[in-house]
Amino acid sequence: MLLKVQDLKVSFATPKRMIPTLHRVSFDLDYGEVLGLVGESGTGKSITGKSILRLLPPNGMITGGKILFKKRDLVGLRESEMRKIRGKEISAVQQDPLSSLNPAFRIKDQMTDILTLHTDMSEKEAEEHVIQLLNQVGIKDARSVINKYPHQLSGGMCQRVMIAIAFSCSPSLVIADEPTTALDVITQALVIELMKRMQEENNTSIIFITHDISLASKICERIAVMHKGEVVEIGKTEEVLFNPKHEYTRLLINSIPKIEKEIRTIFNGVET
Amino acid sequence: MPVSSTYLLRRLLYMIISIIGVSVFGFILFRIVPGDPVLMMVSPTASLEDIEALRHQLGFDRPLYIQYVNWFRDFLSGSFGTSIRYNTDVLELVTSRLPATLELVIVSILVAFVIGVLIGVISAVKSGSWADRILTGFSFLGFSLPHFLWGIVFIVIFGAIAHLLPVSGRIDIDFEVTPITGFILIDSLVSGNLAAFKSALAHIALPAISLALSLIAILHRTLKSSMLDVLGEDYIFTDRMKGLPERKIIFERALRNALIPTITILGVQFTFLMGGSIIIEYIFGWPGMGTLLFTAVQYKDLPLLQGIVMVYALIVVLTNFLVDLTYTIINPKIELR
Amino acid sequence: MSSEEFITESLFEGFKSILSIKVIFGLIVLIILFSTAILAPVISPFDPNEQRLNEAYKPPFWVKGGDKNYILGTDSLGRDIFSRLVYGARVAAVVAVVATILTAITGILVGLLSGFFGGKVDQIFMRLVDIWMSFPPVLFALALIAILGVGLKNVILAIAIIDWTRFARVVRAEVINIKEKDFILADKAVGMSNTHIIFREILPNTIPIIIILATLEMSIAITVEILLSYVGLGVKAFTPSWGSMISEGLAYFRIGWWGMLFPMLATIVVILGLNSLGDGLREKIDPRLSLMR
Repeated sequence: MLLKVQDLKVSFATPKRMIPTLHRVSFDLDYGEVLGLVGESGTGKSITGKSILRLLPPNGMITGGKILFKKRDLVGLRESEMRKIRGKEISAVQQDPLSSLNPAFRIKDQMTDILTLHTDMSEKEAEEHVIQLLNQVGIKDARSVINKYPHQLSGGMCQRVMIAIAFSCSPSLVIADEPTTALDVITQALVIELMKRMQEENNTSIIFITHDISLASKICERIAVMHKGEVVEIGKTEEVLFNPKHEYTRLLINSIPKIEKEIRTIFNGVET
Repeated sequence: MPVSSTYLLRRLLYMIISIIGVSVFGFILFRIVPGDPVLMMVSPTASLEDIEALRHQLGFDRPLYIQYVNWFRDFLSGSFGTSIRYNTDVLELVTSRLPATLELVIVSILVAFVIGVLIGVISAVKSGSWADRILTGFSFLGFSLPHFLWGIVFIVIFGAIAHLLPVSGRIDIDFEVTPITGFILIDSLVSGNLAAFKSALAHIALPAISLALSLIAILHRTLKSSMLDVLGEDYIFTDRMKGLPERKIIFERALRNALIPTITILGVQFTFLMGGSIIIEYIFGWPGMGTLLFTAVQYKDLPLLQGIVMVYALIVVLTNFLVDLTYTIINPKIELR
Repeated sequence: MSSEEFITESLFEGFKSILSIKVIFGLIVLIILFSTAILAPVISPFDPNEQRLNEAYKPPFWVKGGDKNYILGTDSLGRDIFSRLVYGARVAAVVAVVATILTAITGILVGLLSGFFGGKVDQIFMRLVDIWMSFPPVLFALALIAILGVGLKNVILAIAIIDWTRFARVVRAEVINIKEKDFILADKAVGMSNTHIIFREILPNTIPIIIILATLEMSIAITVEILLSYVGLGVKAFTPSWGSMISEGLAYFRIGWWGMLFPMLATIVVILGLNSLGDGLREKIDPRLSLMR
């Protein structure tokens, strides 16, 4: 077992009171497994992801529960210890690729920093490794790309760069928070394919956060459905999809457009 | 980054209009003197011939439009006439005082930048803490009270009560620094005279800080708000997710982005501090253009006064032009209209 | 939304939470300043210019050697500092009110015309503002005083000549904002005259911003008066101004600290009060408005 989240509670402070946002969220994740965290916006999926990294916004705090990562409880771990885990053991890909890269720094600076921090590579070695990584995520002219600024690249390119960053230290866990929502349909498919390939090559576990249950079913082995700050249903993808137990899950599935569902069934049929 | 050439031309045109406008304005300003400007300039005991001679020398006996044409021609060639008080060429006088003023303003900006950025970052990172509240209160004080009040407060506290720092002049009279650049801090360093450098530094401390306080406050406010915005950005989350140390994130990754709106303020503030330096020079006996201006006013030295007014205005016009240009260059995403 | 609704709504939004600590502090200072100015003859125990050379340099009454008659002491000519302070408030208040009204009228007029008509009118006015603002205010004021001569009237005139640009720029920006609002477009569509739209529909909507600007302008006007009087180019000799009191007090600082301290404190409190009022109102009414000097 790589990760075991137990009764996680998170609250947000407003000037007047604490607002509980997550109530007893529990799930677990095995090595090399892809788990989908599905629900509408505001159900606490992203908060769950950020809690695991211990990177909640300044007014948010974990008020209870455990996050056991490789049998260590991340809740209550010292910040300095947490920094050794971030990027090296657990990393993340965010929703908007353009805004998740710093506009004032070259791609090179934003890729080598994580390598020189967590490995004993020199600047030079890190740069060579970055070029390899970029080739791996399908960027061909990597040598010129590393000298560019984010706004000179397309959204799809930036998301490839972000994926390369997230996988660069071969972490055990990647938290992908709506990594394709800001992209067009074609790029979406390519990015999903890329993430799946990277995951298989590195045997990484992924928590795939999305509002789109059909997208989750394409890449995840298991799905956890979140609603109002709780996990209401968790199980194998087929089970959740074809035999939903919770009313809310049914609603989510029904909201998938019909035609897409049919195509998906055909597609899945061919694939398996 | 290529700057659109039509924008450049338009901006250049604006600058030329401004310069012509400033010259017309300066001309009118010194012709609306109630009564006879020549009489204002001479001593009450001057004879009628002296008065007429001066009137002729100043060209005040010719028609108004000819006077303006002559004035504009002289203005373009930098000839502002002869100072009545000093009997020297006005431009020569003004330019000999310019380095002292520039030195004061530039040192103020440097001091303000370092302190303003530092406390801006502290306020943003520790937002809501007691440190932030104290700094915000201080910044309100710095912003609200005018330069000259700060100058007087400092003179009283550091000069009259504590005798910590000199409150008048640029350097102790014992020191002899050969002017190379005219900036006494640089000249004393270049000539290897450390004692003179120390003295000059002590002399500039109080006037520079009096002048810097308002800018410190403005930088504190702007940097705090832009830093707070930047720290909430996704790319800062990315850096934290990588496990980078907070110090690197704040001072390297966030600061560079937060500084952009701050730097654009500096240009405007340069002209603002040029204006503020006038009274600060008066208070601290700083031998720059400001004190020269007071002499001109005191002795009703109209040619000198006119020359000084024009030089200040030209500095402002040129600075605004340069600020606009650099702004479009450092920020290529700005829309050029 | 009709224009009346728009006004009442914005006024309501303004008043609802207008009373912050900053605003209350500023209002108290303002009230004290104006009541002192109006009641100066009643409050002050002495004629501010009455000299008693044998009573010179008396410290405040609580200091050893102080005299109960002169609560804040006397200056180098034996004049009562408290009385001079009170009459100095009158000078400050007069400058604040008259100069602000003059700058406001010119600036608002230019801002309204420039913002409403746009195009050539706007171009010309804005170039004029640019040229005006090329002259640093202190320099401008000194040059004008050199030409006009010293005295309260000329100080006020100088401020009025220099500072209308602040109103003009902010009001113009606000007018450009307002004139795109539905009710103005509707007024235009039904063929209302420009004069009616400008003065009856647009002007009332700029009032919140004008109040903020006027508050700040009062603080600037007082600053300029005190500065000019400090350097001896403000009010005529013997008119009690805080500025001239500070510079006189500095001259005999080694004999007595009280001469410069009280006018200095009065100046600081009034300027802080007005800035605090302006700043507090800005925070409540229009946080976007930047505090340009």
